[in-house]
Amino acid sequence: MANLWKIAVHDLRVTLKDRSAVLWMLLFPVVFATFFGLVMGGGTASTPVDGTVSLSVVDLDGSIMSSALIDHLKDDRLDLVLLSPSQERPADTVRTLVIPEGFERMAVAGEQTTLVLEKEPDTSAEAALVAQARIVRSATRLIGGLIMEEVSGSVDATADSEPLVTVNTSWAGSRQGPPSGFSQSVPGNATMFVLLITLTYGAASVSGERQSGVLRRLVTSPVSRWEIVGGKILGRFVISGLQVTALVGVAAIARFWVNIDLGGNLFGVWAVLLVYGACVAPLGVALGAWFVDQERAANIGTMMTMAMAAFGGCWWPLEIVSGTLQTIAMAFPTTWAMRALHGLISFGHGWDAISPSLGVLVLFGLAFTTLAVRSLRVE
Amino acid sequence: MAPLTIVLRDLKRMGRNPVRTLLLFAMPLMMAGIFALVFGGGGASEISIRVLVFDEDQGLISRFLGGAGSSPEMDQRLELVPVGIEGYEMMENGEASAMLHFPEGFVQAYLDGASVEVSILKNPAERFLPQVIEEGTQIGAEILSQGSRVFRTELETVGSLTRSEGFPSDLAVGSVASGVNQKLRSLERWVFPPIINLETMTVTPEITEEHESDGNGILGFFLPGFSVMGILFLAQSASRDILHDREKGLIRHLLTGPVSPGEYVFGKCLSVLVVSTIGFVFLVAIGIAAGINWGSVSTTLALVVTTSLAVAGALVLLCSLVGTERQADALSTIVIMVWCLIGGAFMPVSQFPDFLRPLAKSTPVFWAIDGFQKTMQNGAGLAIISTNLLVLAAVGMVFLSLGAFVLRRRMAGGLI
Repeated sequence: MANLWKIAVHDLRVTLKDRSAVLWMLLFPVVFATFFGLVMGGGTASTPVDGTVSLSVVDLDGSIMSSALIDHLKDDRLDLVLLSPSQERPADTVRTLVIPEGFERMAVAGEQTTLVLEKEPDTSAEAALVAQARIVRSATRLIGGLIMEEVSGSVDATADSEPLVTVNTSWAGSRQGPPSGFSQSVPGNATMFVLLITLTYGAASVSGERQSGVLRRLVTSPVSRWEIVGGKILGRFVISGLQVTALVGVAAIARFWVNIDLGGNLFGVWAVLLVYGACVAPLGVALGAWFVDQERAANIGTMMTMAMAAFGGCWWPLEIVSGTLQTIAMAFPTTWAMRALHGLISFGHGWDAISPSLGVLVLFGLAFTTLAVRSLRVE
Repeated sequence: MAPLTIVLRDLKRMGRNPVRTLLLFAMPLMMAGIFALVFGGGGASEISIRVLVFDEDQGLISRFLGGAGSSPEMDQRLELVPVGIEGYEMMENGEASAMLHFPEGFVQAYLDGASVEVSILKNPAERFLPQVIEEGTQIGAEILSQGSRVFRTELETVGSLTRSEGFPSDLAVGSVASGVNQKLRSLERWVFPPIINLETMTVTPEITEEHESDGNGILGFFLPGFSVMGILFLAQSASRDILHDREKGLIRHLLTGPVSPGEYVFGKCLSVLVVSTIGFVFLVAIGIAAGINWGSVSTTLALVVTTSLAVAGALVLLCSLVGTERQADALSTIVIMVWCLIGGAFMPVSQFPDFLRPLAKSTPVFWAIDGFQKTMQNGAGLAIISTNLLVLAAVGMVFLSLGAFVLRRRMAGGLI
């Protein structure tokens, strides 16, 4: 065991001497998590999650009916900005509803009239869809009023009264809403960067030691092959453990200044990331064993990380991808790490609920260890 | 001649290690490909929404929803799963995007004209689909509310018929059917089709008549950003060679020959520029092969050259400021990643918080991506992207000149 630790500590020392490695281990995860946290939680773009969506309205008709439609839109959790037809649209306009000229005349005459929702190319798809749905709902209410007027022969006051069928929404789990901002960016970026360090610097260092003959010289010392392989795997784990501890520590401190809600279970998040780091550590060793060239090992490692992070739900929630890709995602350890983290953060679950995901991660770890043991030749 | 020889030497060196070079291109292509696969047309249409339906009423609603969910078009998009009380535990396990709960007596209360409530329990691990379900349910609730007012008389009759024992009389059924039919006939012009329609369109400024509608899709939207990132890393690799040559003693050897420090510096700067340009042309060619329309040849070429100039200048300047290859690696990586983040390579700048947007314009990455987006999406000509071209060219010339000056001075001082 002593030799295992010596090899692992040596690897840690060598890694920490490399400034680039330290940057990628500690600085860039914080930068990325901060950036995406600000974009997803602090941006001017509306967040439908909190109920309101911004919408600019241009009324080219100026009729009673168009005003009634606008009143319905105001009641429907839309943050309206009314623009006059001649006004130039402000630069931050992302969605504009145009009520066409002749809106009332055509509707009264029984001719179909078309509202146009103009979207900027890079508007949030989520917000655009919500705005569309609420416009349809307001238009439905307006049509209902027209129908009641037709049926009863007078303007129907009930069109403006409370709806008879109401919808009550709530969230499963103990959290009141999905994570957003930093609470969403921290788990995803932590998962990605742990894997990145393991598969780039971890793989490159093993590859470099093979190339330079360090591993061959180790074998001539009183260290068994198992100790060498185990030491390398332990070294990758120690590095990822340090990285995870530092990142969770930063999140714990930053909570006092920014809204980072990790489900109130920082220890759980730390432990899950630690288990995940332990499971992917042997993959870094295996990758280093497959490529003699350090740079090639690092490049391949980077591409593998990007693919696993993207398909595993670190960059975007898996709900928005097709069923086929969701099935493929099951083959990646990143998916299961994110599942466990979602259980802790989104649902407020305990260990029993996330143990299946952790179990799958352990299975991945065993598989990767087998790969590493078979691949790493030290003779 | 010496500078050209240096350029050719560097190109040959890259050619001798094609795998290393190709791997540098593989990254941006792979990332763009992932985005296209996930968000591309085919992928988006395959999204399936799983909704649990807990109908305590066991009445018309669940049967209606079951029919709606089993239609051929909906089969692929909406998976409605009837559940009982166990649905709550399933939602706690995140097994669906949302659960609809219809309480006991829902249908009878609706027929009687009383207020009724549908509950939605949403999955907190999902941001998008639960919102889709909620909005759709709100629309359905609005339609039911309006329908309740319009067909109040008929619904009350149906309500009283359902409460009575035995089968309703033919007269009663007939009167309901007749009332509904008459009202539907009078409402035909309002609802079949709906009198108010909603269309959505994506607006693009400066639309030119010659430009066909942008058929590039998601791949075309993200490829410019990832390409610029790829070229930054390519230029990083090429410019690091200056320090690599120094550490290996090659510069000392070179300067013993008929090569002046100025010629060497000029040759290396030209080499980084040529490598960046060739790399970018290669990425553009890959994009074209994938069906991407980059816009007119002149604008694309101008953007490629000026972006390569800006990228090469930046990386040469960064390498001129440090002493070792490792320091160059660390510093240039920080700069590249920060520029790509705030320049809009990963995410459209319009989605940034207000305070971040002005920062985007301080990066050449922003100007390059903006120029390509204008060309690809709007068919912009050279005149429209002239500001982008000027900024990129100016940045490139200034950085390259500064970098060359510092390198030359450091060589003269024996520091390189």
